[in-house]
Amino acid sequence: MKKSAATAFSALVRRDLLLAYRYRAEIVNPLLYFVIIVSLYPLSVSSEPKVLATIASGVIWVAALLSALLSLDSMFRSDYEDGTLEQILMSPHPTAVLVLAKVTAHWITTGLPLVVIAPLLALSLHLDAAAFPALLLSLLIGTPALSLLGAIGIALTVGLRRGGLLLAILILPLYVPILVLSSTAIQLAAEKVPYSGPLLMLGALSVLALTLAPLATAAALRISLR
Amino acid sequence: MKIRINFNYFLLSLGCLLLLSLLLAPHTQPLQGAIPPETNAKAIGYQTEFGPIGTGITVFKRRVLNSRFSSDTTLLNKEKVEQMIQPKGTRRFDRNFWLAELLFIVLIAYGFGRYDSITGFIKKTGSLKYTYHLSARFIPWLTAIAVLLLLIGLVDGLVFAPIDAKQKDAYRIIFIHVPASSISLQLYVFMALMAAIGLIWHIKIAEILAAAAAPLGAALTAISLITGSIWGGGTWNTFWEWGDPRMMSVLILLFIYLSIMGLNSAIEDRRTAASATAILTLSALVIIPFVILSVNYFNTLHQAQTQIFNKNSMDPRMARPLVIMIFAFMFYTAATLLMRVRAEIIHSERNTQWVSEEAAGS
Amino acid sequence: MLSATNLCCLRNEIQLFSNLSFSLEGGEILQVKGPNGSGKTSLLRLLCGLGAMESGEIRWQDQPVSATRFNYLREIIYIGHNQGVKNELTVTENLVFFDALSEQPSQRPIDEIIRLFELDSLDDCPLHKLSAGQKRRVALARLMLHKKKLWILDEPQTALDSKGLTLLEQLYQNHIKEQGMIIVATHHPIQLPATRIKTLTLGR
Repeated sequence: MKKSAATAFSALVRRDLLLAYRYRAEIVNPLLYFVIIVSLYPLSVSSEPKVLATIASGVIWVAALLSALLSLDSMFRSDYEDGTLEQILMSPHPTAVLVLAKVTAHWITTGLPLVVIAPLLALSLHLDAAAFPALLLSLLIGTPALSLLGAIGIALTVGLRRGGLLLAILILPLYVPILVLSSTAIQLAAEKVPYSGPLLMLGALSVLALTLAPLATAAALRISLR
Repeated sequence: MKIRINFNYFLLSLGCLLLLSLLLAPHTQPLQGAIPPETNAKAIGYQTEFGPIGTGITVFKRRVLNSRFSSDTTLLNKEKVEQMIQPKGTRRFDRNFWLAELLFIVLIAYGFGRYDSITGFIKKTGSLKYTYHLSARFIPWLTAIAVLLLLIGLVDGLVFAPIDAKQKDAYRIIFIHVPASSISLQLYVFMALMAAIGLIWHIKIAEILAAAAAPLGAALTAISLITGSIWGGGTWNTFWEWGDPRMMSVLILLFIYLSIMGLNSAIEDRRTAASATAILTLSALVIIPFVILSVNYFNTLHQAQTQIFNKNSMDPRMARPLVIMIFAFMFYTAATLLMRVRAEIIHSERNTQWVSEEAAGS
Repeated sequence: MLSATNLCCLRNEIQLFSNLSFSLEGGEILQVKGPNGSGKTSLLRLLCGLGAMESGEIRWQDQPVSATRFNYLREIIYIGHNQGVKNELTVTENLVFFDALSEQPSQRPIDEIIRLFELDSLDDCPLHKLSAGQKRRVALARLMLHKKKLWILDEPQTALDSKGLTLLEQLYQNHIKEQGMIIVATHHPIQLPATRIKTLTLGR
């Protein structure tokens, strides 16, 4: 009885979640980074509720971007170092499916906690109550795209010894539409104006990333492992 | 025999350049749409359509609106409406574009007829040695034409083009600004195409072309941003307008170019570097429309529109040097690209026999 | 069944080897020898589809591998320099993962394999607690997990004790008897009838 790609997908997701659980202290790091960046803005810009309410959407999303960047390294690094990545590439299952499994596990361990914590931070930044649904939706739709597009970047730089900042330079231009569309949606919601437009565009971008990013990542992994 | 071959290549290069220009050349028209009676005609904004398809759409829209308005002109002065819809001087602009397109179609048809020699040519350029010697023959011509066109365009634009109503002489920087931005966009598409070819078929010359195009594109984008900010600073006193969607998109394009250059230099093995850069170029190519969309959306929200011209049309005496300058930049880009490609070829083939012969011979 | 013609490998623009050709039939073992840096690992990775092949062709059952990539990958198993096992997972978890990664169901239950490799007392330990030799045994346990035609092994005998080496020999013998193929980069003498062993020496 041949095993399907779905079995391999779920096995890989389960394995990655197991690994994350085993080192669950490390899940907190990107979250803490997120919280610290958000708290830097009221400290440096202004602590007036009015000003904070205006910049809240941008602050949260920029912090989410930077936190996603930080957490991306863990996606392929340890697999690359102990040779498991090569074994994944040599599996007869489509590499894109296995890559998608890794990205899913990564999103569950890094993107989902962001979605949970962000409303609390938004509350502290005095974000208008009407904007909270938009905030949650934009994070739910946008963070998978962050993981997917980031996977392309980390796949390209995983073989480099000094990849660090190069990853940021590669991926941040790709992240710009996600940031801008989400911020627009939240700001429109705060002004009590219909905000489905940017969210739909964000959804389109996420779906595009879901379809094409695993393929690009698989190709990039093959190239990096030469 | 030799002269025949050169003539074919010359026509082919001309055809390719025309293709690039027609695909991306801008065609500016006043905004079409329902014009309410109390609107001040001068306050209508501009739209720019790109390429032959865009031109066709604009012309078609204009003809349709024209027919609609001709029955409904009791509210407005008919002449004013016609002036709004088909401003003076644009008719000849349309005609020139259609003529150029016809020429392009003729060249493509000729190309199909000479299909074998073209595919033979493409196969031969796969050999780096052949390309090295071939580009040696092209570069002097391209440079000469570029210099010539630059001279003509600059003299025409700086001396003979009329003064703008509002900006007097300060607008003349567009003769550098617009070609630079146009070429940097075209060059990105070219780079992405070469990257795709190099990635899929592992053709070395495509990888080298993609790698050589990146710094050139980055430089042109930087020139476009710098001249744009000089222009803005001079005329509207805003050196950097964070709200301008076009400026933001070009800035992101600059970052993308720089990231491509960064990745290329970070990987030591040339082959791996070329493939990795290709994936990044293609991913960024897919994202760029989203960047433009999102930045436009964000900025229309905040109503930061920049009006470039306050006239209803671009005076053909201004448009002509602009087109000449665009072609001049294209030839310049081609010449510089080939020079960089030659240097890359020598570097990557430095261990082969023909290069050592070359070095010994000279 | 496996034939390679004119393989050429470039690494950082240094040519490691060029015009390398060999063929391998069922029941044969190819021993790759050569000094350090001669490209043994690169050759093995090339045969797995992981390396950059500058030129040349690999054919599996007379079909070029580039055309039927997944059919080829289904039949091979690669245990390379980094053994491909996760240090943070236990023995059982590692083997369960590799079982899921392949398309075939496992040949025998995982407990049995662990017992065969004498790892049953350690099967709940995360690998980073085990010694190098024990980790190597876990990596080699993958060979028993699925029935693969071609084994590509890079220095499999490192860190193994004498019992482990005997186990490895037994694995080789059983595999060759079943008309499987092995390509191994090693200096260790292989205890098999000389008619079955082909040698490939790299480096100048």
